[in-house]
Formats: sequence, structure tokens, C-alpha cells
Amino acid sequence: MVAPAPVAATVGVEEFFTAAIGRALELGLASPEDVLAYATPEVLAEHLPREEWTKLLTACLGAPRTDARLVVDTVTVPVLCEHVPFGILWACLAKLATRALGRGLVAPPPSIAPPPSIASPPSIAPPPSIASPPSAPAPSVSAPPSPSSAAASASVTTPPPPPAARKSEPVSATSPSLVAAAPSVPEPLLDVDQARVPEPAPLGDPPSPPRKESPGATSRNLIGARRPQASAPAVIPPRKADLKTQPPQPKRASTATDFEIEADLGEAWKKAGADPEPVDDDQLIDWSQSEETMTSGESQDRKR
Amino acid sequence: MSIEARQRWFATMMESGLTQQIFAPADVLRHATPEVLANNLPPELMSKVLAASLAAGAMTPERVLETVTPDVMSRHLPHEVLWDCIAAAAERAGIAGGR
Repeated sequence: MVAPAPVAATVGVEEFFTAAIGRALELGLASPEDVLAYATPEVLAEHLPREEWTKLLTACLGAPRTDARLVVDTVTVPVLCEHVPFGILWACLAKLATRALGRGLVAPPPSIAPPPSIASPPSIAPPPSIASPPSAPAPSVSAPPSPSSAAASASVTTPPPPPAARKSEPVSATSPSLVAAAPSVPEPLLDVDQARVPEPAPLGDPPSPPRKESPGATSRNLIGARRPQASAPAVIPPRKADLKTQPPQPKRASTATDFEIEADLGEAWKKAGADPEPVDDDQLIDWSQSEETMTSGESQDRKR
Repeated sequence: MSIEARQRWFATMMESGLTQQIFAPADVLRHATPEVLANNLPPELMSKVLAASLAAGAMTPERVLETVTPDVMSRHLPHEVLWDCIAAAAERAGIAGGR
């Protein structure tokens, strides 16, 4: 509470206020309305000299519209700071600083507050998704100053919290939307799984017998019933049996290659039927001797 | 916009306050304590502060503020600390409060 610094001269204080308030207006941290909220017409009437009032009245009369910007632009910040009492200027500056600091301080808390209220309905997914984004901005301002600046922030922020709290509300309103989006995501995923299930069903009828061939892998059958169904080799054996009795025409779609093969077979049969006489016993004996070839390639020989 | 503008604004106020002798470097360091500086200044700036002090043979508030300029303060130090410094100076000068 000692006052080591020399008491500021009037000119120095004026220039300080001029720089502080003027810069705030330039940077958009303050508006002319903020200035006139303290430098009210009554204050100006009491402290502004007649010369400045003459300028102001002239400007207002000549302008199509009279507003705070016109007043501040006409009187100018240096003139305001020269004539308006420092206490009023300080009150204006303190409010600007409070508001500026309040934005940074209050912004993080609102973002953190909504998660608990939202977390109650959707217990699992929302909390992590929401907690991460708000945590980032908070430390930038509030975390470092905590030790020494706590008192300062308290002294400064206590008066203006209402506007900050209002600003926090829209933030909380946005966060629930994010949370609402999170639970909606898993639902379509479930639909996708359900959509996949019905697909393998038609394939399940033919491949069911091959599953019985490997009873040891029960876990595989339980886990991925689709894969064995889709596997081609499991379907092949019944097709061989079908080949002996009936051609696999119904299952396969007719293609150009199939027609060619059938045409070849038809010609072979025709050729074989056309030459019944040339068949000899020697030839029959040759065919019967090679049983291995008969077992392994009956279908192939027939096709050929 | 708001953060950058606020930084510029506090830099202006700190510079103006020092220039107009509303507060002195010692007043600044009374709020921007060594703990605050150590916790917020980047290592390279800490190195500069120490190097300048070693070269001069002493670490004075004026010398610290030669490196930790108002612009640096507004960028790295909590603005609450800076405002506390300004408010305290205004209170000492008797310009904070009534007319």
C-alpha cells in the first residue's frame, strides 16, 4: 500500500486516459456509447468549455443523425480526457477493462459447466467429447494467473459478472447440440450392422453343411457366421453333386463363356454319337486302367 | 480479434502508464512478481532477462522491463496482473474512485 511511484502529473494522467480510451475505441474494445455512458451530456455540459460545445452543436446540427459516435468524433478523446474528471474517466476505463477481462475469464467456465448437466442424461459418450474442447481455452487465461492474479481478478471481475454470465449461456447452448449429436451417431452404426446381417442370410442355406465338417472351430462359427457362408469352397461340393445330375445353370447367370462351353459339349456328344462303330475293346481297356484319373477327373473328362 | 485487441490495448496502457509515470517499473514488478514472470515468460525471454542482468551486474526493475516490454507483458503475462498494476497506480494517484 506504499506509494513509491510519484504522483502522476495531471498531463500524464490525461495522456494515459487518452491513450487507454482512444486505443480501446480504435481496437473495438470500446464504443462511443461506452464513453458517453460515463461522459454523459450532463457531465459534458458541466465540464466542457463553451468552445467545444459550439463545435459539438454545429456538428450535430449539420449531421443528418446525432449519435454517440458523432459526439466522440467531434469532441475527440483527448479533449474529453482533458476536461472530464479523472474519476469519471477511470470509471469508464475500469468498466472497459472489466468487460475485456470478463470475456476471457468467464468464457471457460460456461463451457465447463454444461457438461455435467448434459452428462446426466447420456451417461457414457458425451462427457469426454465435451470436456476436451472447453478445456483448451480455459488454461490460456485462467490457469497461469491463478496464484498472484486471483486477488486481482476477483477485485476486477466481481462487478461485471452479469454480462459475462449472459455470454456464457449461448456457449452452453451450443455445447448441448454437440452432445446431442454424439448419441445420435451410434444409432446409425447399429443400423449398419443390422443391415449387414440380413445379407448373409440367403447365403447361409448352402454353406451350412461345410460348417459341420469343422466342428472344432465353434468359436469361429459363432463369431463370424458370414465368412464361412460367403466362402466359395464350401459351396463347391454340392455343386459337384449337382453337376452329375443337373447342370449348375440356375445358380449362375448365363454368360457368353457358358454358352460356348455348352456348345462345345454338345458338339462332343454329337461327334461321339456320330462314330459308334470305331470304338474298340483296346480303347475301353485303356480308359478303365487309369482309375486315378477317373476318380480325380471324371467331370473334366466328361467336359472335355 | 478480441484477444489480439486486448493485448494491444493492455500494451498501450502499460506503455502509457510507464511513459506518463503513473507507475514505475518497480510498481510493475510488484504485481508481475518473479513467480508470475517465471510461470508465464517463455524460456528465451527469461534467458534475455538474466543475460542482461548478468552483463550489467545487477537485476533492476528498469533492466527487467527493458526486456519485458509492455508488448511482451501484454502477450505473455496475465492481463489481470497488468490491470491490477494499473488499478493500484490509479488508486495511489487518487484518480480511481470519486470525482
